[in-house]
Amino acid sequence: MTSEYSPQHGSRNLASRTLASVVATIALVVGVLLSVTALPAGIVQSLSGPVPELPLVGVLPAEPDRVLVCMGPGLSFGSASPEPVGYGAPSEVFAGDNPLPSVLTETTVLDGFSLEGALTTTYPVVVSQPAEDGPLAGVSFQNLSNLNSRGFAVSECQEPRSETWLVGGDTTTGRQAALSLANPGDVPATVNIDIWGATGPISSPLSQGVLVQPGAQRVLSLAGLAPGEPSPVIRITSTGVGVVATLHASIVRGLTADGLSVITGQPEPTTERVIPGVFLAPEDVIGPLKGREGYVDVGGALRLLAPFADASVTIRILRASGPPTTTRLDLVSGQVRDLTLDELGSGDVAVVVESSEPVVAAVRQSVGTESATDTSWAGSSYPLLGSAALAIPTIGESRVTFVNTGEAPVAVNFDGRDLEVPGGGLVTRPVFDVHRIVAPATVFAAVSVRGETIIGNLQVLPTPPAQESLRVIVR
Amino acid sequence: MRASITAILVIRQGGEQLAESLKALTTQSRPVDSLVLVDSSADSTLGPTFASALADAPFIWSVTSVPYTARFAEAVEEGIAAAFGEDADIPDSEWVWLLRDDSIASESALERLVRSVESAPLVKIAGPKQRMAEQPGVIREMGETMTRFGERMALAERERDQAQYDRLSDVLAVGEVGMLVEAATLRELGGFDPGLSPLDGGLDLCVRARLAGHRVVVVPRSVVYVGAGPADWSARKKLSSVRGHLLARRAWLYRRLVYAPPWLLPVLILWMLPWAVARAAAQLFVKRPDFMVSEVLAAIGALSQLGAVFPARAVLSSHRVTTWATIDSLRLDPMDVRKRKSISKEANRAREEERAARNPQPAIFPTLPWLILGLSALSGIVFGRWWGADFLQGGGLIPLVESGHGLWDNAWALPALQSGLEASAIPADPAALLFALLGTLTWWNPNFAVVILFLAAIPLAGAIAWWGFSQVLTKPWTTTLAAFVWAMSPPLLLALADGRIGAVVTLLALPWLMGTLITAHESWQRAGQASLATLVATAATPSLWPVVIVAVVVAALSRLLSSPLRMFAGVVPLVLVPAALLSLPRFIGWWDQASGRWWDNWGVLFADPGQATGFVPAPWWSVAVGWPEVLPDSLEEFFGPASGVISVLIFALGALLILLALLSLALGQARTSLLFGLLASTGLVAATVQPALFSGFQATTAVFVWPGVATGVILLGIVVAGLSVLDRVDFHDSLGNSVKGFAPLSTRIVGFGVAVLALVAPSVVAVQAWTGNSPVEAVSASRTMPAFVAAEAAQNPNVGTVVIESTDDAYFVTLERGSGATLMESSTLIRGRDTALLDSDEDLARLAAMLVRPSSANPGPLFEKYGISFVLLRDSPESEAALTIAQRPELISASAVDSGQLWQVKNPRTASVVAQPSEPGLAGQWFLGLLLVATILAIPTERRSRGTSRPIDDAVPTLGEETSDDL
Repeated sequence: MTSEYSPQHGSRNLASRTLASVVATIALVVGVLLSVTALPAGIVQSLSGPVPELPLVGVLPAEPDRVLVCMGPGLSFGSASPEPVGYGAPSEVFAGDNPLPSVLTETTVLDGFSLEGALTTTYPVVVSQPAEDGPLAGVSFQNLSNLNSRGFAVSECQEPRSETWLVGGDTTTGRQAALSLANPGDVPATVNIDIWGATGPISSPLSQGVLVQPGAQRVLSLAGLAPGEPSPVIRITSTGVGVVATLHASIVRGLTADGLSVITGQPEPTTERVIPGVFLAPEDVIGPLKGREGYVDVGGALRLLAPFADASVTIRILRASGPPTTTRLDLVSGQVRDLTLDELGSGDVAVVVESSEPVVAAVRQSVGTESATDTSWAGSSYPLLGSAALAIPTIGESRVTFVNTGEAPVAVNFDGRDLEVPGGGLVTRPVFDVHRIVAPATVFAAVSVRGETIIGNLQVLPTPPAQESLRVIVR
Repeated sequence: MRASITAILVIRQGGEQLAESLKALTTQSRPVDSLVLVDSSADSTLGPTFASALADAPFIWSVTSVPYTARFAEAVEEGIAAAFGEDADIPDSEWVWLLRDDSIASESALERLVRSVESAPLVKIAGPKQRMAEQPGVIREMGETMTRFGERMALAERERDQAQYDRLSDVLAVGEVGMLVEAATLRELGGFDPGLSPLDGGLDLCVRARLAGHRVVVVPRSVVYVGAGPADWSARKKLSSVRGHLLARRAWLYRRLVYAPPWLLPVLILWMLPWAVARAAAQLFVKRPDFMVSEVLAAIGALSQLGAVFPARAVLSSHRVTTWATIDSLRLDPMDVRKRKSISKEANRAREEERAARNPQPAIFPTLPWLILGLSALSGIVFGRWWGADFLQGGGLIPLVESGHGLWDNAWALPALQSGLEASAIPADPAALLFALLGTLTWWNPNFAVVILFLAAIPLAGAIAWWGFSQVLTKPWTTTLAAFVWAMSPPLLLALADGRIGAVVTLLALPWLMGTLITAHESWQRAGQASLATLVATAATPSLWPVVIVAVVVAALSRLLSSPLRMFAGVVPLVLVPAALLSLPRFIGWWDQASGRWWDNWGVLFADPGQATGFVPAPWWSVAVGWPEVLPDSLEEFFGPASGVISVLIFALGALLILLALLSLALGQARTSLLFGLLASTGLVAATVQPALFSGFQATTAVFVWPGVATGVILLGIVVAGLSVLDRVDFHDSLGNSVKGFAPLSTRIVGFGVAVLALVAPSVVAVQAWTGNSPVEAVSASRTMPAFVAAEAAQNPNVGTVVIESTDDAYFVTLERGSGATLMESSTLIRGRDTALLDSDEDLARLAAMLVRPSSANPGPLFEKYGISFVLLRDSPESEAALTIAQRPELISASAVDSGQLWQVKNPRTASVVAQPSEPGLAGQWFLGLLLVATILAIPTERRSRGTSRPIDDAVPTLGEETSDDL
């Protein structure tokens, strides 16, 4: 019915309609052309340039102070008491430019000299040093000789870790082990303890969610968690804040305390474990002891655990002179295996374990006479790269052993002098007081301390590398 | 005694009418005795005209020249002086007949005037009936009177002469054209008052004559045809209504000063200006803003004439022999004044109805209620998941305001608390005002207003669009279909689904803006509403500014011929300036921020307000048919193999409408063609440019301006133009019989197709919403921070939370205040600031490094400096960062929630900053003033009539029906 409208449109109306249509068409054509060619958008983009990116800020975190916790008094369990007991105070030696010692503020250890069974006032020592002051090391040692506890307790002061593996000790008759957990941090730590034994993992409800208050040392009896276990391996994991774990293993033969060893942490399982600083006593000294009743744990032994998968391992014993001895062995996942190291000669050796699957390993050694013996567990060392410090106890004869598992020799700077460690070999040096080590390539190092009736081991701990800068976007 | 008549003819300009005027003088049945031509035309060529016109005149004539600028009063004085001498006594028998160059006296005019004065000696002034020269049957003026307040009133004005006033005789006054006055009386009274020029001179003279005891009569049978009113004649051109109002008002005020008793005079003088301002305000209410200025100017003009007032008072009092009370009976009765006003109102209304009948509009009932009902149901189907929600959140939708903050605190300016508690305030986005207004609707729970807006948006959009389209379309069904298509259009649905609240508000306002803008030339009320609509649209979507400016200018240009002054001096500023003033502080803030490099910061200027969300822009052809975004992949999964069909179907509606719209270029009215060309082309250009406008970072994502609103502009154009084609087809002829043929059938099919295709977009969005793929979700609490923080924020609104988020290779750190981001706290200036690092940024980066890595540094001072009470890590609880933060002695683990790990700072410093409600600045105050003006104009106080398109209303009988006239 459009025709009805036409009379309404006068000529002026028609003109305006035509004009409007023409203008609208031109506008539409221009608009479509501009859009298709994206000309205005291109102009806007070329004027404003590319879209900027948010700047990435690199922040170098202020290195926290290096903090080491020493072992505190050597621990044992009294004959009648389930509580850990310490006797007197250990001695400490620190190596570092600016060490600042302090102590923890709380412990569950009883004072062995107290008649009332009071808690000891000897707390583990904490030593700290600003990160920029270079490497820091400390050693804590105590030669105990009383009815309940006899032996040489020595350990390097350790840094707090969120995961620690402790390999050594046993909880069969006459053997005890005190598990010490120390929290030097400012917030409570919740610790889970996992234990493997000769027959596989040992479940213990008491070992989960152990709370360690800030500044406190808490000691547990390993026998309570894994009773009658000849070959325990312990993993300590901590949420919240890192803790320092040590295992104080003591031996009582009959009624006589006869040996004490402080086992310190070793790295998480890897396929290559290196245990330097093993001292094998001469056979003529140790041989006669082994035959005696109750002296079955005198002498060298290698404890191995592949915690997660079956593994085939190759064990090499490195000596300062002469070719290495090699043995092959298969491990069942989760079952701890003890291997005696008899008839391997004597002197400072290193044990290198190469495995198809990650393993942990430690070596037991003993010295002694007819009247007294001492035992020590040497754990796998942390790889050492860069600078480190070393503090030596003032008791006994100490020798440091460097092991180089690589092909090429490594010239370790030891107190300013180069000490060449041959590829696949080891070097030992007598040491005393404090030392400074700079390793240009990865080596492994540990110290053996021994006397006629004392033996102990301590690790050379690497200085952790400086943190990388953190990438932050702020808006 | 026979009177001797001297005619004084005042000449402003020559030409045809002068010749006719002179000719009429020579053909009088009672010829004048002499003629004085007072020439103020400054035209030397007039001499021959006089000579030829008066060649055979039966009287003597002379010419006196006066300056070009001489007023009527002065010209008459010159004429008297020329006729009778400067100071000579004038005999009683001498009369003066005052004429102008545009007055053509009828043959018997003078004869009848003279007869009336000769028969009654008391009559000293007699006036003829003035008729309009161009419409000889219409009375221009016939006697004058005053109201009680002195306002001049014509006794009869612009009425068809049906002899209805022919019994008039004694009047208060007569007009000066054709006035026959006794020469002696004229001189005695002091002549015309030069202060009353060009208006009211005759009235004033007659009032003085009356007070001197003389009679003034109008002689209905004496007719003079007058070409122009006194003001137009005096100015030698047609004056505008505003100028006419100014002159009339000034003359009235001047006379009031002259006539007032002495004790009242100071009061009047003091009161004049304030009263003028009050009257100006009243003019605003009656929708005559153009009279506002003339009111004040008239008062100032009258006051500036004070120098003339006192001589005039002296003249008046020296001749007054009777009291004012004697003329009271000649004044216009108040009741008559009211009657006249209501008559003129009715006349206006009749004109309005006539106009409305020329532009028929669809009837509201019953289609609009049905449309709203249907859209409400469809809205429930599409976004049913939102029904009953306490709050809506997600996408661009964040809480409107957090508890503890006043709703209007940040309406004008907001503190940039992200960079420290001492930060200075930055201007708020214009949208903040809208958000605050929105929240005020549900003042007890402002966030609820957002829920209502989102639930009601679709029916509301339909209702507003119905009104807007009814200004262009004429039939209810096309208007309803257009509104339906608009309310179901992809831009609105996508804006709702993505929570783009600014875009939702603008899309609601767009049809309103269109409807008011195309009718802004008709009434000031529409112009006021257009101003408000522009304000809403540009504040909620600043990227629409260029389109709006082009539209307003085109709307003004299209009325360039009919009313240029009104459009360019009135409508354009009224529409654009309030919105511009509201945006001005943010513009200045943007300018400062760009620090001179304005060209690479466009995106921030045009940034969408509120929280920005990302999108994938569609190519231009998709935008042209109404889809601003690429459809999400989740849709493809849902529809499976049918998704190919869907992806074609969604473009079908736009394509069909474009085809119809192109047809309208050939068939449609000029208005729809222009609308189509303007909206579609500007919308298309805007929609393709906007995704290139980078407008800052929302978290780590770069965001761009959303082209959806510009796509809405395109749709508006093609919907109007497309449906205007269908609108032209009648299903019934003027007799109400249904029409058969191609046009109605095809129209029915196409209309049905449009309605069906309009349902595709809502079904697609409904699938998205019901499968949980649209960002906006119903939530139980309005906050973006964990509940623990929100609880603390209720006590201390500025409580700070460091939010650390682990991204691929870095940590993303922000500082949130209170219970998280809100619309009232969001600012495009903060979002769009450049990427240069501030001191506070570096502090935050340092703080983050202290927290997520083992560090010996103490975060305490930074916590204190920035008033930080919480640390929120968005990372797994097993992550290195979480373990490291856990070792911090300064922090207490507060909660682990879905959104991350929360730590509380031990002994936080409570931020003592008290939120100061922001105040409008200078621009804001001007804006508020103009907003008041626009709002007053926008209030519909005047009744507008709706022309209807229904043929039944016509009184045309159908065939065969008997009408009452036949009986």
